[in-house]
Amino acid sequence: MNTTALIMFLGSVITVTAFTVYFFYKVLTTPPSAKEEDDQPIPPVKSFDVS
Amino acid sequence: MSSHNESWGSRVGLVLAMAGNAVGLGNFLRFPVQAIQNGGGSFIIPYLVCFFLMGIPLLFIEWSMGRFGGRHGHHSTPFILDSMSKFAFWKYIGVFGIFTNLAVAAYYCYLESWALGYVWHSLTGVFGGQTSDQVSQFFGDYTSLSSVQPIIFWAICLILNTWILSRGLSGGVEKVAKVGMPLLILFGIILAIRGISLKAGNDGAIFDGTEGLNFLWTPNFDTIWSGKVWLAAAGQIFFTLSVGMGSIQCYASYMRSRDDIALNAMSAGWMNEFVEVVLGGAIVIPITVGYFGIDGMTELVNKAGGLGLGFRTLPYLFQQWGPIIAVFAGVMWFGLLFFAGITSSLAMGTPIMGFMRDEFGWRREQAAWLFGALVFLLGLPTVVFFNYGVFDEYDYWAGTVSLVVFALFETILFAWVFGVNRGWKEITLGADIKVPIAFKFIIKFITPLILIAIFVFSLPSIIDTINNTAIHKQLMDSTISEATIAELNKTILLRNIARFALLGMWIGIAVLVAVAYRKRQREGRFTTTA
Repeated sequence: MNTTALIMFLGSVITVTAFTVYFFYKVLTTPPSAKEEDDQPIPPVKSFDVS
Repeated sequence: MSSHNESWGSRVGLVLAMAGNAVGLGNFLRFPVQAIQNGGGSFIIPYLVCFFLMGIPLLFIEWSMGRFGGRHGHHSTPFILDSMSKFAFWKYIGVFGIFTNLAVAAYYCYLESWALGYVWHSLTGVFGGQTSDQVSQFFGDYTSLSSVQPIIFWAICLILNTWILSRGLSGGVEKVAKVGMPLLILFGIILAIRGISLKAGNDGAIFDGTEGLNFLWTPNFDTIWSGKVWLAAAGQIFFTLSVGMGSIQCYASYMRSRDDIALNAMSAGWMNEFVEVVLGGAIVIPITVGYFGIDGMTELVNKAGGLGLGFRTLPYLFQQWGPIIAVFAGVMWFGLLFFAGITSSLAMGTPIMGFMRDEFGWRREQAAWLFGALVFLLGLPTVVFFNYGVFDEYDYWAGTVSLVVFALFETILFAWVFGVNRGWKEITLGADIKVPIAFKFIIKFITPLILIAIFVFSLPSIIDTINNTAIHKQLMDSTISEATIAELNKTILLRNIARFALLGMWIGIAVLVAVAYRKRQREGRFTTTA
């Protein structure tokens, strides 16, 4: 490969792979925090047969 | 909260399902061709700029709209949008979020079934001993329904989609994503390594696989100043992320009200980019150039596009690796295309299901079968009249124009009607990463401007398509035969019928939304929280 193509290829591949791995690693390792349910009241909903 | 007990089983499942929604056949077949036709290696610059200025903002917008709507019991875009503004017409803009998914699924499931069928053909060695022309002709015969096989695989695909959807999010969709996405990535990595490592003189290759990479990635920096290239880059980002469809909002509506959006959206978005830029660019082009050279590959692309390379060319090229490896390569290639397809088509099924369950109390199984039946009925014309452009017509109006229109409206709603301050609070609520404040400015001003530009620059093409300009140009050719004239006129007729069918579908869904709204009013179920 010519040098410019190699730079574009490696630069793109490394950038995209790095971001992908970083964010997915964070998804895997971020502990679930105790997030309380929203205090906002839910509008009244008629109950259906929802089996 | 939801009126039914649907939810994601795990965070990883949600992210993989969202990534699967985005990853499709276009990652492998459209991106490399777009890159080659728009500056080669320099295409990545406008592409990544558009990803940051339009792709990521739209992901943030759609994820947070979905979670917001889900908090209030809405799992499809008509009433998600309705809940964000007091103006009644927004729920009818939300119709696009169901229409687009149904109309795209109508032809997409057929594409997906080709991949499934070709997995079978690879396994059974159908392409063994065939010439390049024979393999290409096989595809032509396949799509011309010379046998009943395409219909059988299509039916299998529809039943599979319906069954998985009937199992629900955690029991069906998520399980497919957790198996399909890792396998897709694994198969892609293996094929990419095989493609890049091709050596001239081995296995019948004339050129090294790196010649194709060289061609794809050599930048032509002059093209960076071309509006056409930026439009192509923006378009590719648009289609690759599956934004503007309504499926992301639907998936996100099943999140808990304070679940993170920012990190999840970034992870899913970048995973799509990995599949597209790293894997998609390293399979089709290197392998094709290895055997046909750059001129040969260019000719094939101009003749048959990425789809042609994927289905007409690659099965022949795999045969050059020996009968055993050809089977593995074919199964992996068409297997990954199938996984890419089904994870997307499952996402397309969820909005109509969410709507029918929320508004009319349908059970999950009923709603899934409705999706299957609708896709069958709407898809039949694209199957039977494939060679008359009905497929292309659906793809253009539903898979292109509709996405841009809906994305533009939802961005304006989010940034200007609902308000970017409230929107920003939604995006950052529960966030596990710090979202750069610059995105607030980008969402309010830059993203809408880019979408307006895409729409305005697409107008000439829209007008040409409405007028069937390309076909009329062919008809003006005095050298064509009577038979060709008859075929072209038939094509115009069928395309126009397809358009009216799509319009009828949009109106039908809008009527359903109106009926649902009247029902909510009678039952005292308020929709807007704006």
